[in-house]
Amino acid sequence: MIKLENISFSYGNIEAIRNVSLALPAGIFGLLGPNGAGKTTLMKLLLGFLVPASGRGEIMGQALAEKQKSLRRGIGYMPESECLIPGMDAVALTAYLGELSGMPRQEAMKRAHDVLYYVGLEESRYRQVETYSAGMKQRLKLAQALVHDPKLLLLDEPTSGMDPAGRKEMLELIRDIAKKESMNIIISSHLLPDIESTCRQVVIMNKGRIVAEESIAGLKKDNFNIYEIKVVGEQAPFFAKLRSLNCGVEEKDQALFHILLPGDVAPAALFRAAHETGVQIRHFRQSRTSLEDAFMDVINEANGH
Amino acid sequence: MKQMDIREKGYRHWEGELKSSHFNWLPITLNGVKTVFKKKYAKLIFSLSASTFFVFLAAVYVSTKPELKILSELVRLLKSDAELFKTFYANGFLIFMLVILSIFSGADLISADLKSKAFPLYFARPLSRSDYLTGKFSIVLFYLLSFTLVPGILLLLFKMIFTGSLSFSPLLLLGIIAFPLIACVFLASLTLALSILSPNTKFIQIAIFLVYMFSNNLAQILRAIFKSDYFFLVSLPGNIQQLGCFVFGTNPAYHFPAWLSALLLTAISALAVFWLSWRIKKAEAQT
Amino acid sequence: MTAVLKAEKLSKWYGNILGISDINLEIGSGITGLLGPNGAGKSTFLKIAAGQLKPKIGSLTVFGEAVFANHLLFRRIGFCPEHDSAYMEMSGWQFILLLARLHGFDRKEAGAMSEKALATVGLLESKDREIKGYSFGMRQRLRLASSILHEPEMLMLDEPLRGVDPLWRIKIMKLIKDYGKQGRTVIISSHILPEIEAMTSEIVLIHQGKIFAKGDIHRIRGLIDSHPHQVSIRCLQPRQLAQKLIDSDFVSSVDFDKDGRSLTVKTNQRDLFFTLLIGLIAETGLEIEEITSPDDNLQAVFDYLIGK
Repeated sequence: MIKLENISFSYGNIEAIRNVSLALPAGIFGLLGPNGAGKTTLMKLLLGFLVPASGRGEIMGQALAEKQKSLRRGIGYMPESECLIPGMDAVALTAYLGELSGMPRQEAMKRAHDVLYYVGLEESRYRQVETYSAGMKQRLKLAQALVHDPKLLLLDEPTSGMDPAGRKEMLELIRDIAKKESMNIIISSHLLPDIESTCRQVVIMNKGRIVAEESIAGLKKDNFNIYEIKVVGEQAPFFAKLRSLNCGVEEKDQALFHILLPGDVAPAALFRAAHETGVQIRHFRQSRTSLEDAFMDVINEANGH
Repeated sequence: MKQMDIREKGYRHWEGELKSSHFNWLPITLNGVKTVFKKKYAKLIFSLSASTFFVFLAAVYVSTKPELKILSELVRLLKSDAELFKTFYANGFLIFMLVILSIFSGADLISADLKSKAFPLYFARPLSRSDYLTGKFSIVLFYLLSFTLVPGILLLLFKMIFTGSLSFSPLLLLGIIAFPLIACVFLASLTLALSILSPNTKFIQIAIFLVYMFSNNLAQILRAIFKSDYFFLVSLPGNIQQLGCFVFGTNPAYHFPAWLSALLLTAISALAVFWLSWRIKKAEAQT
Repeated sequence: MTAVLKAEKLSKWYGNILGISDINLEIGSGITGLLGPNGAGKSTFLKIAAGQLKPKIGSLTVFGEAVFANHLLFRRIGFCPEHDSAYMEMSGWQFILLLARLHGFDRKEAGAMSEKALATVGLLESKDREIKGYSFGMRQRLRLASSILHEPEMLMLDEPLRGVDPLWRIKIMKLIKDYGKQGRTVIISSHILPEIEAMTSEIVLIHQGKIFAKGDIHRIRGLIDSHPHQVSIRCLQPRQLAQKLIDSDFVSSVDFDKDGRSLTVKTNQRDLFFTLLIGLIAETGLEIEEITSPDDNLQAVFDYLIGK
């Protein structure tokens, strides 16, 4: 769907993107990276706001930097910044932007209503957009990105400024959109939990290059034989019993412990020990690297640590 | 029994087709024109701007009925067609109202977008820089031409009706169209060029007004010191008046060749457009 | 717990608009999370606690003294506000140095503390660049640096991690956790529940200007009677386990997950349930892959209390 070959771009003397090559099939991808990695620059290149200094690219079969207008017809962009067109209500604004994308006026109007219902702004869609709260503005930004039914959605920090309830709903909306076939989404976000709950593949950038392009599951490696548990009850006798079985006990944080089981000890032994010492195991799981740890590993490797 | 289809929940695709056209900037213009129309004081400004037309309409009517004694001084002044139209277009009051109209309809066009950071929303659309500028330009042009070109043509028509003769010189018609075009394009490009300078609309409104006032005062001071009319090339209303004289072939109001004003106004318009185009390009990259 | 911050009958409104109403609260050392929907009153509360706003009714004392405009107390308090508030034409270094001097440190000390603060948030390399050239995340870190500069005993952070990239997010969370371990008082307001959860389990939930809940997340969850606890168990023989569990009175429902490998049990008697469960596993030797409590997290507590 997106093919980039050796794209480079600099802001004056500062090289923002160096020889980036990418081949993304259809689907939903997370775009991650530290500040200054080039994520925003990459998005701007895809949108045609910037023209690459060198290299070629293709989005959905159309050449980058040549077929600007026609490319943009098929892309929906949800910017991170606070952006608005004041003096209009949500329906007027969404329909206006839909018209500017090439929709006939009445279609744009109908679709604007549909899309505003979908993002949850149905009750406030006749209000002036300047009066909207932060969460509502985010939803409006999503609505205007969807109004012309693009094939590619670029979402930049989609949950920024939203309260927990709003965040949850926004992520649900994104997951719902992703379910539709022929919808492609790229999400750029600082929040790893957001990416984890919506995407299965990520692209990680660092210092202007792409350092990883794989599935989240592939990034997270299972550490065998370490279990994380939370217990309620008298911990000391329980842990003593475990140690007597040659198990390692490590306190992590927030009452979370890691139990290292040697190869010959089955997890069932944990439960037997708990039952015998009258302790409840309320949380039990094989320890997994979190996306955060995996991300740190990738970046550190790329930085040569 | 046929099974009833249930409307799918969740996101739905749109079945239509997106059209590309040469006029894809038109929604910007239509939207902008409506917004200006709904502003406070709109009706006041429009009536004031139209008032010159009505006065001249009356004068034209009166000139065909020598029995009427009212407005006789004005009628005497308007002996020839050229004089009539030149005085109509280039009179101080109308120029003043045109500047007010420019401020009213144009000062906030780009500066409001700057303030509310609307650029990312616009430029993510299949809209080129020239589309955006054309759209905004047309908003100001629409209002300016409505109070110059349209009354001009109407005045000609009514004159023909009142005098009962269908003759007019083609040169006159050319003048009736050329003057508003040059003057309004000039004012519109100046307004937009200033509008892109700052997100603070009040500041832009004051700036445009100051350009109008200050340029004229400066010209008068310089003329008083150096005793040469050429200094009126600095004055905004002065240039517009000279333009009127140039276009209609009447005696120049100031003692310098009238075509200089026409040239200057055109040159400034072109410069303003280049400047705008460059600034928008910068803004697009920084979005 | 000796209270570091004490609010009594605290209320504040702006004209007709309610900020907070009748807040009674004590916060001690360690990290406390301040949560609530937008407009709930969190920022109002933090600004009063930082001495920036005057209470309308009631009082708020920090270290035993009323905090409003109490500039001597400001030495011991650090506040990182939500919004941008730095002089854009200054460089990061100049700005932090200015603040250090305003705190009353002499030139040499101010220089040392500024360097330390900037190094902690990773802005030492960009210290000579003008602030208007900083990215959003960098400006957020600068604000953080300005609040920890004077090593205050109490730190109040309003959305400290907004816009900060994942690398620095982890480092700053560690910094905050260290502050808590050192016995300082940290109050963090954030929307991002996983962040709060990773740093502390003590929370204060504000909604509609009032306190809806206060204390340890898990204890609060335990107190929410209306929603039975969910326990999700993944094992090789879910139906067998289910059979054994259904007999007990305190299991209110058993749901099988689509994958056919887990079941979710709802119970109103969590304590009894777990004793039963562990006993069952120990006796029958059922192979268990996972036991989790899906709604014993902050998001669920939040949802239940705010009421969907």
